[in-house]
Amino acid sequence: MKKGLLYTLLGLSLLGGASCSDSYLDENPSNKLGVEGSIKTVIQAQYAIDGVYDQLSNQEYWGNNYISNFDVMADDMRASESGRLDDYYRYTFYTESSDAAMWTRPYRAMKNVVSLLDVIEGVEAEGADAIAKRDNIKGQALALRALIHFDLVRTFGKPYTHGGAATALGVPIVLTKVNFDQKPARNTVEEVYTQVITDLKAAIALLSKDANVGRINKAAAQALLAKVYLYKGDKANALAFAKTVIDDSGLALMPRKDYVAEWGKASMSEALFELVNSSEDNPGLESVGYLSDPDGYGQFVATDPFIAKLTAAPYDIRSKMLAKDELSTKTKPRMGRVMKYPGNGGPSNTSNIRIIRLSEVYLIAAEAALGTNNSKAAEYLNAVINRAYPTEDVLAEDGTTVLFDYSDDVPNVTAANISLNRILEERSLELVAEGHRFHDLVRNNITINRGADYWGNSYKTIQMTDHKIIQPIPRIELDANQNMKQNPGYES
Amino acid sequence: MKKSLFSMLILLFVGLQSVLAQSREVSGVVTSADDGLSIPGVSVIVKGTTIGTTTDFDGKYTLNVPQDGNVLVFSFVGMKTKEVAVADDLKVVMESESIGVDEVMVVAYGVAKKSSFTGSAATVDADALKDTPVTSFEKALSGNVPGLQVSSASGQPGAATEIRIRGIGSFSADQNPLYVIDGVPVTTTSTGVSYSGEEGSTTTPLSTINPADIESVTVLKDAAAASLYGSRAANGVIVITTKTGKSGKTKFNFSTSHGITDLAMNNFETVSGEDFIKLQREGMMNTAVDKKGLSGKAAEDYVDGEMAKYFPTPANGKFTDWDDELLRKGEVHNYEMSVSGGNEKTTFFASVSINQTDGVAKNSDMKRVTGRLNLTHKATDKLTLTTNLSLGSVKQNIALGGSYYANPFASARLFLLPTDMVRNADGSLTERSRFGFYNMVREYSLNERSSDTWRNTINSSLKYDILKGLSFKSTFSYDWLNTDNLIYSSPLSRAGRANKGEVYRRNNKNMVLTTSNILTYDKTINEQHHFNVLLGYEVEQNRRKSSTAEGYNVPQGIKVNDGAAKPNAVGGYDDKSTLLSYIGKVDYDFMNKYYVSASIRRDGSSKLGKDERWANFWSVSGSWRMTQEEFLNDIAWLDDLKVRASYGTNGTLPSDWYAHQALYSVNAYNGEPSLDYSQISNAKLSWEESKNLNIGTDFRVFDRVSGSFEYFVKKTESMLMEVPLSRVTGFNSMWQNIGEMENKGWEFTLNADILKDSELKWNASLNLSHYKNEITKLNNGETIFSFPYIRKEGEAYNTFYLRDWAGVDPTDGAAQWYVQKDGARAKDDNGNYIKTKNPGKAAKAIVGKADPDLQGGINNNLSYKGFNLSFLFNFSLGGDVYNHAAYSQWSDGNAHSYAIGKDQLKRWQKAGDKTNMPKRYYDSDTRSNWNSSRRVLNNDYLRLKSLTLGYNLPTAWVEKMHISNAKIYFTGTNLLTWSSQDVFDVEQPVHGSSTWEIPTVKTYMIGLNVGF
Repeated sequence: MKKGLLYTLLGLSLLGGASCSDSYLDENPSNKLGVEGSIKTVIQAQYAIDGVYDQLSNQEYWGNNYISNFDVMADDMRASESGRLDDYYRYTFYTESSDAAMWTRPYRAMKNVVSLLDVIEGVEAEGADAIAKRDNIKGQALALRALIHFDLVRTFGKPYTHGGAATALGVPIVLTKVNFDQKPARNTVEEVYTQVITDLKAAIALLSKDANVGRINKAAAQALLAKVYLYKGDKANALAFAKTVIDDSGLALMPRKDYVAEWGKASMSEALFELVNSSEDNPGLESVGYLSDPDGYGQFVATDPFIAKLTAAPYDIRSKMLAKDELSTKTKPRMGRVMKYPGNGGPSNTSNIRIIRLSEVYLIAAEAALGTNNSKAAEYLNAVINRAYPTEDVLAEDGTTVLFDYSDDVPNVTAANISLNRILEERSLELVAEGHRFHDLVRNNITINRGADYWGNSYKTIQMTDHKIIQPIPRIELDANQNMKQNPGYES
Repeated sequence: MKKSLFSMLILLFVGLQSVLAQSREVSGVVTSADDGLSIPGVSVIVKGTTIGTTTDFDGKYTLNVPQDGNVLVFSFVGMKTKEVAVADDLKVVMESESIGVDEVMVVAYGVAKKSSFTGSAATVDADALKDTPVTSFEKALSGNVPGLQVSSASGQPGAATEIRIRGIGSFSADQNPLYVIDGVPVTTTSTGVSYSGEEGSTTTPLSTINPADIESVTVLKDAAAASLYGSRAANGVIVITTKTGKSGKTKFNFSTSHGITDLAMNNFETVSGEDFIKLQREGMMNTAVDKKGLSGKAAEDYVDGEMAKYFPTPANGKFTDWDDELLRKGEVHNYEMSVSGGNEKTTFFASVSINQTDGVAKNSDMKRVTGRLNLTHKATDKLTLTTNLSLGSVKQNIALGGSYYANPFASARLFLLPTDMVRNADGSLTERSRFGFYNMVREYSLNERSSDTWRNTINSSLKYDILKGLSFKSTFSYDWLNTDNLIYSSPLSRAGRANKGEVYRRNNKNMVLTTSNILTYDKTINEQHHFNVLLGYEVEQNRRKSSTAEGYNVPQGIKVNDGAAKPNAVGGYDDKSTLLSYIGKVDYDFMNKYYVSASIRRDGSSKLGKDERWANFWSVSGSWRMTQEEFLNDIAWLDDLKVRASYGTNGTLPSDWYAHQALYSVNAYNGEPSLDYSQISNAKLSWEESKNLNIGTDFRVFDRVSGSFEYFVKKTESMLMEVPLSRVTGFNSMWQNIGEMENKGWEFTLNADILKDSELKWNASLNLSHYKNEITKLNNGETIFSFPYIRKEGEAYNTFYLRDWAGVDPTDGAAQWYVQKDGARAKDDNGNYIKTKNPGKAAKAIVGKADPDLQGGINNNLSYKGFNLSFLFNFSLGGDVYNHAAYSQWSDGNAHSYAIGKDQLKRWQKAGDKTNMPKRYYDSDTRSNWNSSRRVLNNDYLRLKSLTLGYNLPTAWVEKMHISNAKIYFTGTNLLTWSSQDVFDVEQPVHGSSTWEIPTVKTYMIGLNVGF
């Protein structure tokens, strides 16, 4: 009996040993997919392209850094006090600064683009419908590849309009998966712009016209291309593509009455391309919404001169975009919070990010037409100006005193008086806190002058010859990649 | 008179009997020297005969001793065999076998006699662990074992302790040793969570073990000792054995101890409110004059304006001491009860314990309840069954570590200023500091971070003695660890306001199933050749499961997800990793004189790709016990002398379970799944292999001094490292096998019974160890920068690479750095070092290393009558620590919104001042506080690690109380420290970068131990 038990145990244990074959050692993570063979169908390709948008919406990229870091380097927005935006506000960024996010995150988005593009042709698509869907995804991938390169080159490369683009250092161009042992060198600014334009043109040919909230469609790619041409100083092409969008996109400027509310909506009627930030997408606290929110970190606020500008124009609908900010006290409110990130009905960190919207395209068109067709330029600019103001008189409570005379008080422009400054002024009012102002001044080679409320010790005025208008390549990249060259002026 | 007559009669009678009888009857009682209790079952034999008996239940025996029998031999398992000359009423006191050369110790897959062991191992027995007030046993190892670096880097009750054996054996792969409890490897993976939900070190599974349940801890250091554990043994193995029962009288033991704790040293001390105001004003004035070009009234106005705006002196003139608000004196309370006993067939040990520890951070505490049952049953002469069951429940309120505002310690020393108020004028708590950091007094009163851990282990084995010498042992073990983590932020708190209250719950489980089947054969041929052979296999399956739920919009006071109106995020995983192993070992010795041993283990792991997953690890070792040789027999003072050597290999697996695969992680975008290419593949990823050489000698002389010396070389190849990549790849880093590293060193221990035969007994021991770490090869000779370190061939792994600080210029108070040229300080034509005041020109250089040159411990045990006193010092010489806090604490005014470290009082003020702290510039960008060797501090120290004074109540007293023994004691830990720096606690992480963890505490405790 006892022997029987023993033999049984021995037998079982030996059996156990023998049955433990090699396959016992095959284990895969439960919450991740193997890269090989995971993108075979259109729906899987859709997941993959959404992975790019997800990276774009990250707070280290469009979710915050590419908006607030740049805005506090110019004159409309500021850091409320020492804290999160400090280094950019005061230009105290160096090679050694530990923040490598603005370099790293776009390339993290890029690897998702190229890992999809590497396999997109192999995605099964039978029938015209499926092929069109696949083409639409490929078009988005190409447009996103262009957008990421464009964002990187305007951050880390010499501004195209400052000349010397053919030799100036841009960023490494990534077209396919970069292997781990590769040490890519920087392409020239010219090469990067050429690639961006090529990709956008190819994307436009593939993309669907249909609206696709949170994603890029044909009109969005055209609008981005117009913007790229404007940054390149190619006004003719910028105007041509902006005009196409204005004429053909089917979108209209959002009406004045909805202007404030539109920013809190799950999709904005005039958005050509917006990133969706719902609470399900796990937006972090370092998002631009939370940074604007006095109940959040509250550090991203408008400057005194900017607030004054809109306070002086109470009938400009955009003055209604200002709310109490972090610096407010119980007795003295400060209207420095720009309500562009109020939260999509949820907490402020769930705000959508509008990458490009129709108002900007009008402003691009105006700037691109300036000098060649000023009446057209005035027409485009006035579209934006007029939208901001009431279309009828505003009367005081007594019913007779005219507070606002719509026929006289709207600060319209004419072909005769339109100027670059006026266009930039309108861009400032319309696009504030969306990450534009710094680039608008830089690409037009205009010195940045900060107002009296600037609280740093230096960098109150930033000349366009200052090396810090271009971001440094972070130390972490230089250390890992011997082929990487630093931008001039950054000895540390 | 009558009495003496009677005695005489007795004597006469006895005398007559001894003459008349063939044999005589001897009786007596056998007791234990440990506790004075009688020992049943002791074998009593007349030497040179087979005549014998065993002691009865009360330890008594009676034996007829033949006329020619002069000596009785008393023997009992676990006790020193004793030979005593025959006398009539023979009371024998037996000593346990824990001291001396024939000590048995628990080693890999079995036990070994210390005298015959060919590897390198050190044992710490229960006595050393017993009275040390620690929440987790591994903290008590500090200073007791040579070559062991113990850093309890966190004062959070129940937090993990960092242990390194013989230096760092690995780059970024796991550097922790393997823990084996009662023969089964256990998990030490934390199931706690840190701030944002990732796994953290706030909870160590080892804290679920009651230190009082531990019988002994063996540290296996070299390949011969550890190779049988193969792929996990490269960092050494810590083998823990829990207590078992002994047959005989049932013993009860009750103990309780109570104490208070406080920070062991003043850490990152900040300046007082008055000094804070003074330093800020001074910095502002310097900025106004030198940077803004102001003077006179304008400068004063600027200073006054800034002060009023940012650092207003409190209306009542009372500055806030955030230490008082956030920290406190901790408390420890322990209650333990154990019962052990049994008969010839069945023995048991059972215990329950409760520990309540309140940490020095007001929001940190731990409550532990444990239970254990160790049961052994001999079913037949051949079949032995053993089951050890243990349960542990640990509840913690957690104070966060890290340089994060929610860490109370960092908050008090970094973010919150003396000018920030705890309360408003109306008595309500303030919400935020002037610079936007939360008033943590208010936050803690509203919010909660806690974890609730259960651990349940079952460890069963069956041993069958098939033939004489041949036995089979099958072990099955299941280790189940479960932690519920909660992070709750009230809607009223600043942390929770934006989302109207948050509840984050995460359940983490870790389950390890281990089975092993081992055949051993033990055979002696001709009483000369002794073989011991072991063959077997082991299967381990590790499973981790997690589920997370987060909700927003929570009514105040509700801390479950059900109460969250808005579910926000869910997450989880269910992963497995497996390990298959075949083991073999042969020990051979010739006449207890020459020993050789060889072992092999073949491991297959699921953590590597198909082509790389199998590997062999092996060892060979030998020793020569020279005192067994006849030519040494004449040297009377030499009791024991042994030389030994071993060589072998161990491995290390990547700590990541799936590091070799290319993976997409699944995120969400716009409510749809989205794929993120999150891991780049390395199909060639393989084991890290370490090759260990150990040469040692053990000796014992004059029957009172023993010691050992060991020399070791540990070479690690195919080092696993998370190598930084060009970010253009889209990845920050990937696991690769790169480079080689070497740890060379020696260890020395000396133990002396300075006084052993007098009433005053004194035992002292010293251990010293030294190792030198060097990276010997890196991929393509490339240097890897990993702030604040440089990984470079020829340098130690933890080598600091920072700007080369050249002090403060006494003329103007500016920071200076040495200029570097071709890897050395540049010199001018006169041969003087060139200094620069431009941080941009201050290149980095190698400025220090974390590894100490010499570490050790000095232990003393004194006893006199019922008193005993023991104290243990540990020390470290030659190691550097990088002061991470200096960025803010020594910011020289640059980072003006942080608290100011006390060393800033020594700042430069006027021409001629010689100091290391530059002229202050408020809110400036002088960059004088950039990382440099100013922050690297030498960390030599001597610490009174523990001190215990105990008193055993006299037997006469305790017998009256119907108990068998009682002891009261005082014990303290970390009571005194002498160190070369006074900035932070001497116990810092092994890598040498200071942390913001809640620092090491000192403890004062009193305790009572009663046995009955």
